[in-house]
Amino acid sequence: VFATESELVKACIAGRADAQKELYDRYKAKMFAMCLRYAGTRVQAQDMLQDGFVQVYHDLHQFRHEGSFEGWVRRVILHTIYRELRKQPHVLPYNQEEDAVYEHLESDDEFRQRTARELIAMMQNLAPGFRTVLNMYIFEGYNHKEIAQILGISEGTSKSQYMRAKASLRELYEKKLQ
Amino acid sequence: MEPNYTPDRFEEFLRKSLQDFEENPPAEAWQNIHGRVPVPSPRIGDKRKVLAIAASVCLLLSAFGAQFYYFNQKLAQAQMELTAQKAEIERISATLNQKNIESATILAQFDAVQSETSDVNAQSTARPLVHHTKSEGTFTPKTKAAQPTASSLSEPMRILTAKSQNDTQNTQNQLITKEKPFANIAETVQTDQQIKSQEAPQAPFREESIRDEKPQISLQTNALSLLEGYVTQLKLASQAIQAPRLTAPYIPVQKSRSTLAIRAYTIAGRTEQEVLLRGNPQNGPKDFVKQDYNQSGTVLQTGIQVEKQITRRVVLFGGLAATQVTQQGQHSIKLKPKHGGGGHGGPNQHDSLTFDYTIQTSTGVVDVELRAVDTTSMMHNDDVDIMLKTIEKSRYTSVPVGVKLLLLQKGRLSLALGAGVTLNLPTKRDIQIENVDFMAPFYVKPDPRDRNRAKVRTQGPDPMDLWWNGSAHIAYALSPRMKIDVAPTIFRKANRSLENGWADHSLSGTSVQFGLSYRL
Repeated sequence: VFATESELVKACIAGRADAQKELYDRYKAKMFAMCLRYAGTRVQAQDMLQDGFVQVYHDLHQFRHEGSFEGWVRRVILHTIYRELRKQPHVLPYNQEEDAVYEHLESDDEFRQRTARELIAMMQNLAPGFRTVLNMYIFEGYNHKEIAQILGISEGTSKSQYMRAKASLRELYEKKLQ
Repeated sequence: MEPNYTPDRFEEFLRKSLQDFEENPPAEAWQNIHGRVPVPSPRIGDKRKVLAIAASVCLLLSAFGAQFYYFNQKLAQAQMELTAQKAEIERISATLNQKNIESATILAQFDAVQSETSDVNAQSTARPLVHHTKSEGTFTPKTKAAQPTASSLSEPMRILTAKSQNDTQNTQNQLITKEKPFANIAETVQTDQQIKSQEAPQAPFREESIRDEKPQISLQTNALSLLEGYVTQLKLASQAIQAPRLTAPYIPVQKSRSTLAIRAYTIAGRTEQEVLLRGNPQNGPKDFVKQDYNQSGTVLQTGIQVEKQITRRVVLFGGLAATQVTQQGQHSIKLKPKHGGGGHGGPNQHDSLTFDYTIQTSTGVVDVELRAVDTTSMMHNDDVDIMLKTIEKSRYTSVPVGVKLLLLQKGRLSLALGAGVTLNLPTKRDIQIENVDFMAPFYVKPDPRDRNRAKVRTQGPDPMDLWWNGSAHIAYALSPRMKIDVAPTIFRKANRSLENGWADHSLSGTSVQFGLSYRL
């Protein structure tokens, strides 16, 4: 319906519900996958996604049509996630019920898809601090100095948390393979 | 099962495995999002836009109303003149009818006299010396020898001869009238009066043919003259109505070198403002990192101007106006705690920290007080970000002055370029904090009691502003004295640094003027 992202953004700003739904449908899968990596549970990931998209619609008038719109949406949602993580620094307990969510995925044809879901499930078992630093370093491309600035921790802390997170995840994955 | 990565490539394995991974969220997620998406309420800018359009419509309606009133007056005047002319024509027509009746009476008397004359003629046929023939109503002697003298004629014949000479003159007059059947009414009346004065007392001798035609000619002349008079009056009335439209000088400034005009106008437009904050606050345990912030909003100005033409093309103007500027903006402030000599280099030996920060803008002062708890572990590199969303409403008394250059004129349309400066004297300002967002390291928590707490102070006189502007005026003349104009305008506020070095401001914008002027 909307030929360009610019038209889509303008329609969203004007409050058109069809445009807002279109924007959500375009990016929901990628953004939800990103939220899953940061969240401790699937429910928490859904909350992150919801908060992130609400923030996207709220800040949409600030988009200057420079660069990738998808990148801008990703940054806004990430910013929302980081803000929430700052507010809730305590370690969430591991929720055993979440494992059931992925059990039915074992029949998935694509091995890569199944591996990804297994890895996300394992990442959700990591401590929030480990998971956050791991995500920021590997997937968002931040270096430890930038991670330290964003999260308000020291660079050494960032490095140590990253190493421990990677080691834990690797151990979990290899255990799963065995 | 063997892992599909080498030990040193686990990062790459993770990245490749999850980078393109997509997962659809539950269906109810959209319902939750949709219920929280802010509904776009009519923004302040939109309201201003509506007001500006309404003001413009009012101006245009006033202009067309004035034009309608002006031409209605002209039409009423023309109708009154037409009514007076009709009354005059009817009066003349009545007079002519009276004359016709009198003429008929005279002709009746003429017939009576003629019948008496025929008896006299019958008696005179026995005399051989005079022989008369009909020749256009004149009597010509047949022979010179037989031509009688006045003294030689008998009394009846002298009367006959005298009447014949008078009749000849009357007949010539009738012929003149006959040759000019469309002579105007006054001439017709004159001719009838001549007939009456010359004919009535001496009437009896007229030729039959002339006597029969005379009333017909007079009636035809009267009817045609009356019709011609009506047509002429209608043409005059039509010209009276159309005259101002065809002949008026529509551009008053071009015809005279010293005209004075009053112009009422409204300006509606958008503004963009950039503000650079700088300097360090003197109070509080904090350091300050300078930040830029942007504001955007609307400007609405309504005023009145006096325009004085000094040459054929140059017009000076000055006036008085009320201006309102409404801007929304986001202030980003980055605060750093001062070094306090605590453990691990931490700055604070307290478990709470109050941030008291002041923003001074061109239109007022904003105080922000935020309190954070659990700040004992804050490091040197830690900082607190405060995001303020504000709405500033500023009202000014404005004095616009400038010059306009008339470039061209075609019919009712004209084009002029204008340039000037508007001096804005602040009269009222209002700063509202729409939202305060507090961002700090996750181990620093804002005190919920003080979150989003901010005070607004508006104190001290605000320096005046100077806005430079340029415009292109397209004007349309409604009448010789009145015209409307529309003018796209750009304006820019002069850069200015406050005395204490807190902020530099740069404001620019685009707007449209709608004006209605009246030449005195």
